[in-house]
Amino acid sequence: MNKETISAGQLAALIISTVVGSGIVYIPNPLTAIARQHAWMSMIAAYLFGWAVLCCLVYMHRHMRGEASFFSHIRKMVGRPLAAAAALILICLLLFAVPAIVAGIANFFTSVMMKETPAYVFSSTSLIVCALTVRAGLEVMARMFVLLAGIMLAVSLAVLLLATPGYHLEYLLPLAPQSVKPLLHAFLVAAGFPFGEVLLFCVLLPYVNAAKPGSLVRKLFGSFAIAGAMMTVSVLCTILAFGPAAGSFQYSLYRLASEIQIAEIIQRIESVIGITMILGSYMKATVYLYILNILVAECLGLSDKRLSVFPLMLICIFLSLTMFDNPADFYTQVYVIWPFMVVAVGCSLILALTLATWVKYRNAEKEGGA
Amino acid sequence: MAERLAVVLLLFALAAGIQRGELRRMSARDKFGLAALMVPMAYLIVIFVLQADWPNWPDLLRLVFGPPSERIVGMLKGAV
Repeated sequence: MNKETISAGQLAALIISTVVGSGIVYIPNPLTAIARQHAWMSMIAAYLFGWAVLCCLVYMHRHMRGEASFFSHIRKMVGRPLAAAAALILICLLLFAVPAIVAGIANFFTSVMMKETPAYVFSSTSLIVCALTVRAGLEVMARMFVLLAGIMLAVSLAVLLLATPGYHLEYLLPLAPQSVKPLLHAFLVAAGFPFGEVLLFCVLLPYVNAAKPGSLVRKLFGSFAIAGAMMTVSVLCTILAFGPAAGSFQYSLYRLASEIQIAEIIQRIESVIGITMILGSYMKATVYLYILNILVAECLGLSDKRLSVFPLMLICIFLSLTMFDNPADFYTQVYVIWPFMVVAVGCSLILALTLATWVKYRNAEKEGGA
Repeated sequence: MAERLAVVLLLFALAAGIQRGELRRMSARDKFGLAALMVPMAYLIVIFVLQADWPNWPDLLRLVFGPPSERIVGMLKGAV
């Protein structure tokens, strides 16, 4: 079977879909609850952290050309046992991320729209659609997500713009924070979710067909900048609209959309933003399920990657239905444990692999020169 | 419980129905790989169907990463 390839532009769209994806729904609330009107500063700092992780990925990609997969690249760098351990760490991260995203979709529906419907209806249908998309392949997924990411960004921006009459600039004051601790706390949360999560794209890099390396770098950083700007603007707009109360609205963008009322023509548009939120979560869950499937199929040595899609879908469905006992548990796991896992474990792993790549190629160049 | 069991059966029927052709062509290694995935799945299904309060994947993550992450967050909140 030929290796699937996507263009640099399509990878850029996948980055936007995953970073903005569910983050735009879930991040403004905890961040404004922690750092209040200064949350946007933490967001910018977290974006810079994600940027550093992306630099590591770009460096590794330079030495990854011609490799069949990320797993085969790291096997050459650090040997088979350590490569298997690295893949296992990424699998562990994804086995939390995918069910958590899907549980988020189910939570949104059962708490806002369809309160009597069991959560398994939403978890199952979401993951079935994700699994069918994964089975369709990376090329199909990437082509589709270019369009969907555009729609998601356009609708989100439209809502933020239409809500402008309700913004209060004074809610941003005082600009200087009294203590740096809340800012650091908000930074830790946003650095893990969503910016640090870009580390998972290391698995997709060998699938990028970039004729000009400069074009890939430009598009990767460009898309990451768009995602970072979008996330920061959404946090900023939430603060401008709700001020100190921003931290108490769980789905602040949804709440913001419900406040929009322009000349009795444009009103009650929260259902539109609801659809966008589901779209974002679907794209993110699909990309992560695809990455998880590649890693699992390679670790198990399956002859056809599509064989493990449905078993993984079933595992993720049952995990999403059993992993969170209550909303407080969701908060602890997603905003306390998950960011730590991404920053301390995932990003450290990427840094270690980048250093291993650097050392390996530096030694190879020295030997070549001598 | 019957409702949850029906959900499990429905999902399995769907997955098996779509993968019917691939399942027939599987090699021995593929079968071993899928069996490895079935073990955690079976455990999760039992937890879901019985609504059992058994140790789950997030409990393991919480055991390993919970204390350091909560200590850091506690420090940043000024509680420690």
